[in-house]
Amino acid sequence: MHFGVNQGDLAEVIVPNDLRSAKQAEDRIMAELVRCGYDSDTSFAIKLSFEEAITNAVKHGNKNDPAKRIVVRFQITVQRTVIMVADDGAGFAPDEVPDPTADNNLERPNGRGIMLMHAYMTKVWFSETGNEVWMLKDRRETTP
Amino acid sequence: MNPTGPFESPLSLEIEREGRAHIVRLRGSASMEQVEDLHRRLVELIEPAVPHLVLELSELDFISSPGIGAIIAAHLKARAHEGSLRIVSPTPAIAGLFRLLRIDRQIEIDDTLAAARAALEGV
Repeated sequence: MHFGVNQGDLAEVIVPNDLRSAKQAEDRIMAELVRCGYDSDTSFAIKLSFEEAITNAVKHGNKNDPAKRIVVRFQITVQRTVIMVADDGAGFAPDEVPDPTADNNLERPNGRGIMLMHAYMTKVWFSETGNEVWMLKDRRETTP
Repeated sequence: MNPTGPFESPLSLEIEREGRAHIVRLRGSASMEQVEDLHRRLVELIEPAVPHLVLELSELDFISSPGIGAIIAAHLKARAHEGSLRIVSPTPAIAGLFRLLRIDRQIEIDDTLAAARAALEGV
């Protein structure tokens, strides 16, 4: 249980390990945001953070292996959004990802996702193994 | 906000050649499942005879870091061909994203297409 959410209160979508399949989970999340009346800036922040988590899961966690899967759980209310993304991979150490805004990293092709999740969501929590991430967006918080 | 959901318009590219530059107007959402194609298309546009690329983003409503990676890949290829990549009129949300990632430190961002064209005069 994270961010005060009971597991039984979370919607769950399990998708094959590719970005097009993960879109089904994203579409459900975006539909809920509309239903709960979230504004454009907050929806942008949530979509961005979700896509960063999914991209990391597909490419880095599951190493683009089509035999692996991604689990998405979420709860969206008018006050806040909680999203969990988990992959089948061995995990990683989020704290060891280099700062993408350092001068010598600006032209790297990737490495920006975790920073963006932290910047656009209220709270981000990684499991000890790093293959499960929980993100919370408090709707009252302004986006960067 | 679109009642059927925000950021749902498919990504489209309108490409025009002007001298030694391609002007690309991106419309819709550069969502994660469309970025691989975007990457390929942007990089393919850069060639020795046409090493400059202008991305007009006023109608692009969403991009995530893989899309930014595609832009950076095109920027690096342009530079390798002694060309350049310029960005024009990003929306406030995307401009904020570029500032956060310091993209504006490596890629010129113009307020208008006219300004981008003026910068490319004589190249």
